[in-house]
Amino acid sequence: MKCAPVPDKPDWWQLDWNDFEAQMVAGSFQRMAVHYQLQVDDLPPALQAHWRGHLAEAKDADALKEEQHLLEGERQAWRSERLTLVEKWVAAYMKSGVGLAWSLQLDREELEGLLMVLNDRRLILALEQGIDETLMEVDLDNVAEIPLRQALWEVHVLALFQEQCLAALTLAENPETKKEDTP
Amino acid sequence: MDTELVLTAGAEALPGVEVETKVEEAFASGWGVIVWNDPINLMSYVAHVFQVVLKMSRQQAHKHMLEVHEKGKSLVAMEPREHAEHLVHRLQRYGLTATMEPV
Repeated sequence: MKCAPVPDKPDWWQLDWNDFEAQMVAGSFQRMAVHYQLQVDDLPPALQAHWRGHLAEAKDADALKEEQHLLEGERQAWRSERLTLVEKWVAAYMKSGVGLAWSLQLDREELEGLLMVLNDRRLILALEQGIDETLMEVDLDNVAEIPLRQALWEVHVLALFQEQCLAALTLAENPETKKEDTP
Repeated sequence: MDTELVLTAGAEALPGVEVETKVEEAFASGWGVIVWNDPINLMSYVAHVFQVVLKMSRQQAHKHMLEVHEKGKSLVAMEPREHAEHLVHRLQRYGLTATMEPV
């Protein structure tokens, strides 16, 4: 996967996936489209808690009851906004040809949206599969349970996509980075 | 007249200590915004969010990100209540575990 500024189009970014990566990331977007459409009340308890969020630790929660309610409303709105994005990207992937390499051009705001969606997918997989710090470090060959292995694999691959975008953003904002980081 | 009666009745209904607490809360300027460690968010992503949301320099963002990673949490801002709430919303929008507390 590559992420780079679009020449002559300030603050636009081009993301290129090879055929295999494209199929994978489009699959992740598709699953998030399904997820964002579900009612929070119908989700498993861990995901319900995730999507309701909390503004304060228990000791301060009483003082912030109204604000907590506002936060929950806002978190619902994020799901709708992100559903619009993933539906648009999945439609673009379908149009460009399933099974082929794929490119997307995004403005900065949409690129931030993509980072958030990739992050949502990783967080949700972790909650569904109970992935903790130890499991994040484990060698996938040693994971016997197939759904867990698949989830870990997806979590790591999507992290690589996030890293590519973040590296491109850092490089564009700090051109000296390239010199520093190149051995 | 009616309004005045209602207000008077309302004020009398509140015990003095509670009123004082509410006034203090309303004007409190010291709310800390805390970001907590989690196993999934990438270190580079956390630093990126600090730069975008909190307008930190790259160095500051890196320092706070390391604090989250190594100590489990970092106090990333001290703001009046309403602004602290706004920052928590924006940090959570990116998927970070952020909370606020009076400091």
